[in-house]
Amino acid sequence: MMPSQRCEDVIRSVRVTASAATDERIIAAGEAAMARRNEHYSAGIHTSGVVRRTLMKSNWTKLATAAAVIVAIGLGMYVLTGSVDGTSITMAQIRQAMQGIDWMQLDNEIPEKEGTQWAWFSFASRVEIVCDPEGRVIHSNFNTGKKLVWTPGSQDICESDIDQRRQFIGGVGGPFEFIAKLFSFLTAEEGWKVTRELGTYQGQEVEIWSASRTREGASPARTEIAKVYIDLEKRLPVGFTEAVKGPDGEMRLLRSGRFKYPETGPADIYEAGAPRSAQIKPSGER
Amino acid sequence: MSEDRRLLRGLQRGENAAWRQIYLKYKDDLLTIARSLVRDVHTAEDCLQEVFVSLASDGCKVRSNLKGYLLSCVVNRARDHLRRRDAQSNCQVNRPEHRVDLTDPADILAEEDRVKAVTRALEKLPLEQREVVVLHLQADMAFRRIAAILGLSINTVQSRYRYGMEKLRQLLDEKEAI
Repeated sequence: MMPSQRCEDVIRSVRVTASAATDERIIAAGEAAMARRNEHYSAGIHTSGVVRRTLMKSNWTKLATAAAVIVAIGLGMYVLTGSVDGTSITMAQIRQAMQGIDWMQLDNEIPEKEGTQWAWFSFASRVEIVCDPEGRVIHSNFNTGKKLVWTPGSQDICESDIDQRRQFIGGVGGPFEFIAKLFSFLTAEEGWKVTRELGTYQGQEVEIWSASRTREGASPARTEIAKVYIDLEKRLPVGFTEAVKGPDGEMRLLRSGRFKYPETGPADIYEAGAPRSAQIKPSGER
Repeated sequence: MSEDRRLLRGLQRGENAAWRQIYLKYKDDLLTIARSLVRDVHTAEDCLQEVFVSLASDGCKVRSNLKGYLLSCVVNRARDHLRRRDAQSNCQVNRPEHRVDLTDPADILAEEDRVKAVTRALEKLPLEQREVVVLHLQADMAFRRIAAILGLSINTVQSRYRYGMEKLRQLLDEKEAI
């Protein structure tokens, strides 16, 4: 009987090598597949200005602005490929990654206002907390229908009912649903060019989705550039930027923001920044 | 940065050179595994082609451990091929590359016979045992990694390996008796 060790050695020693013809065939097939993939990676698309305008007019402009970028780009890829099953990070993967998320935080920098706006959203509790560049803290609980507003310098927190026409994040149930809902607004209207590339964003390895559009008819002519940074590991959007390049080539940053997905957010308006000494008062009492 | 990681990044950037380097680095290992699993060198080459074309198309899906990813792809493709056809064992076996240092022609012939005998015995193992034996011995994978790739417990993998090797020796004994 062949000893066990010998038997193992013989199996280890077996080696099959690919012939030159096989190499040639496989390399040709592989390089053709790479070429197809690279063609899909960068191409022109059409997305809708309607989406962006709708968002900018909403009561919820702050997060919407960031999300609009994602919509424009994600939708562009959808239009481009006919499905979201692209060759890299796909909207379907982002949807899957976003499924278990409750809290979402958006740190939104607005150079024109020289300030940062922080916002937290809990999709389970239907709570929206915004700290705007002026320092106001707005806590909206859509389960109770109450809104609390603290203004810097005040010792009062104004309590009021949320406008009944207003829905939590436009009536969506989750971060990705918000984006998906906006798909329906799309009509091919304005041309965007979308590209995707790998890069880093604040030290993280990311895939960068860029959408650019040149407005020849605008005065002055300008190129609008929006970028979304998707975490390669978690497949979650982690940041975005919006900029405009003028005819002189000068780039002006309009807005940039960072998405975070904390385990939990501020428990109440005080944790969001209102002073503990401030008293909650119904708006009629002020 | 490890070579594989560098190659993966190149692949994700859509660089042909990175893909080609990955192919040249792993093709023979993968072909050997595929050949042992599907028992037919032409089908094994088809498996290899499918794996590398898929890597070219969807390379960005690979997050880490390139070799592990490629091995699991080969195992899955081999399973698909075996499901699609009634695998025959009367395939052409490539001349193995000997690692045993032999000089006497009689020893060489005897060794070649042994290799052929073991290879044919390996082909007769049930697929689930063959997979484990091949991945452990030819891909040099630890049982833990094999368990992860095949989605089995480590105990099951070790049992399959033990039974596989016993069966292999039994088949070789039967051959010697003939």
